[in-house]
Amino acid sequence: MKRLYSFLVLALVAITLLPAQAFDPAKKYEVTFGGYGDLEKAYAEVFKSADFKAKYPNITVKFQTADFGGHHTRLTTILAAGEQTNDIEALEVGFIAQFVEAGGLTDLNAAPFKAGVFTKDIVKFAVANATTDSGSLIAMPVDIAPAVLFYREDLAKKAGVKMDALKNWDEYIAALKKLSVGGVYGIEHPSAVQAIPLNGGKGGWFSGGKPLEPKAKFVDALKLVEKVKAAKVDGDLGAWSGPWSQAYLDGKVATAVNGAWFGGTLRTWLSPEPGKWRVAYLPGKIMASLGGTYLSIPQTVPAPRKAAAWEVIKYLTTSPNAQLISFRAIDAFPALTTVYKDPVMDEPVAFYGGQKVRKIFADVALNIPENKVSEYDNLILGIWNGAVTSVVNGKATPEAAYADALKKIRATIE
Amino acid sequence: MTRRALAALPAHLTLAVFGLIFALPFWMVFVLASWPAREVLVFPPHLWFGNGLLENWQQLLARIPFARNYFNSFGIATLSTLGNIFFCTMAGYAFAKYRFKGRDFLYGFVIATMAVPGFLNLIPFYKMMVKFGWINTWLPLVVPGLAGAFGIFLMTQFLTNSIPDELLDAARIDGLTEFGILRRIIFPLAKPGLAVLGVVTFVGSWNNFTGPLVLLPKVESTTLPVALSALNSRVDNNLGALMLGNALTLLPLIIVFVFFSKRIIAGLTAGAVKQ
Repeated sequence: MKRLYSFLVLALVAITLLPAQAFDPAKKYEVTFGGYGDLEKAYAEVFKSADFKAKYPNITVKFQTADFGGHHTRLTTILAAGEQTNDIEALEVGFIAQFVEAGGLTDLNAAPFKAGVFTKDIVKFAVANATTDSGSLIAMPVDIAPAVLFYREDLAKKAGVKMDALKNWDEYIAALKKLSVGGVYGIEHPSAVQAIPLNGGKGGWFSGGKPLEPKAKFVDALKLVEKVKAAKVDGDLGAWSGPWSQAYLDGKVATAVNGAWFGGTLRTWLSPEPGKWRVAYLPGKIMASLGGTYLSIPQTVPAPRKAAAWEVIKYLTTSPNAQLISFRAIDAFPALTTVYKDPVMDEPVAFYGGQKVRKIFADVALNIPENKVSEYDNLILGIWNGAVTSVVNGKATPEAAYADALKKIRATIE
Repeated sequence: MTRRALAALPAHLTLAVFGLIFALPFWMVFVLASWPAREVLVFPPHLWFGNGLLENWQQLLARIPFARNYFNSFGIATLSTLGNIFFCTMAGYAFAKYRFKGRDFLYGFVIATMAVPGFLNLIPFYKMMVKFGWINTWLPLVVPGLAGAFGIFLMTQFLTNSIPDELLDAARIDGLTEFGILRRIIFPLAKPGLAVLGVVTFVGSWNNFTGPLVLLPKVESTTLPVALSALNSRVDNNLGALMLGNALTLLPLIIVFVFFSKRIIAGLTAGAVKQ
């Protein structure tokens, strides 16, 4: 019996110490990739590029794409079941917190991946979002969405307002009042601004373990919504609705507060005529993030497949070629900071009337503050959005909406 | 116009208005399927057909293996429906017409399973399917639902109320076996109930999203709702292709309802009046 125990202990030690299987350049790999939205379009172009093919002639990638919600539902279900997922799974920043402490994803800081070597060149806040309290990196940031102010230059000129140096939200609202004439809406909806003072609602919901603290930060965000509503400068346009897209197509929306990716939506279909839009820093040069994508390797992926998956992730997140192809294809702004020095970042962009907008995106990206994420973030965001709606509809004052949201959050998480 | 027709006019007009309101979303799906992507979200929306059908069709085929997904949806829905009709009628017949020990308990147990929300089962169900090696096959979407609780309940109620015991006794005296009774008497007389069960099962299977999403990971092996969801993106506008895909997905359901509406209504109202 003693010998059997000794054998079992030795076997366990051997398994633990066994190095994870390394990537073999002579072996053929088919890596599976679970993604959502436009990611397949961007990465399919990356994998077709000569650079990728030269570096990884032995890797082919097969996609499983669903819509945003479906993708995360599938991933959550399979991880909860402890079963094998795709070799690589994409995560949107809003979901990253859920997986940071919950487990199920491989620590990319550990051997043999040692992602720490590469993360020094990736925007800090995004790396922090994907890092657990114990220092594990559960996903690599691949793109981010620095928040900026998109505005119609022609309408701004006509109204005699300067949108590129707004010192605060009051100046912004004053400008919106001047812009909102002749059927033009200053902004699509009052709620479009609410997340900006809260770093896009991506983390930072807790302070000292208490939700919605400091109180002033959250109440001020609601007061801002109230002010925009009271100024009567919005079109009451629900995002992605018919009236919303028609207002953009008709050139009736003067400004939009959104992440860099929104430029792609404007350019490809919402307002495709070049030269009309410009980009500015947000009022008061607030730096915030409004989205972003991470790439992870679930723990249930077998070791040899993990090695190939890591090579693909490494390429997508640390290769300037991959980052720039994705940026061109779907306006996914690079998380890799070395790309910001690429000449392409200094190029004038015809769609924005020759403005060098990428410089602004990059500057915002480098200065977005780090915010602690938690597994409750998505849940809190849902409750918070309810509070914002109450203020927009005039059903509650900012103070009352805050108190109600706090009560609901406490009731849910305690 | 007779006085009677005149009196019915307001009711007919009201029904016509409601009919139009209910039909409008279906009409819009087909209309928007014929407009290019950039025109799908225009406001006020297009009410008549456009010229983007070919463009949408090409985009649809370029993005997903649509024919394959259609085949998968159709195959899974058809097998689920046929299986459900067969096994649920058998079970319903047993519960409705046999008196055996534990019948009430068993029937109560079957009914009780309907009270468990589907998402609670998802994780253990998924683990079981992995163990069976059924992932990426049609089996997990067909086999476990073959004798669904709802179908058993529906057929039990239908057969209890619609087929007199005397008829079955007469068949037995004439020498029919139990399976013969099922085949020659129960199935032909239960057509309205079977139509309801068939339509409910077919529509449920056809519209199922979470099941194929989790159980059929490969795009070529998945069903229409999941494959079409891949077209939902924010920068790459596929709305035209998505609308066309939706319209084509809707077609079989409309056909099923058009051909079986009378039977469905008969099935739903069977037993409503005591004779």
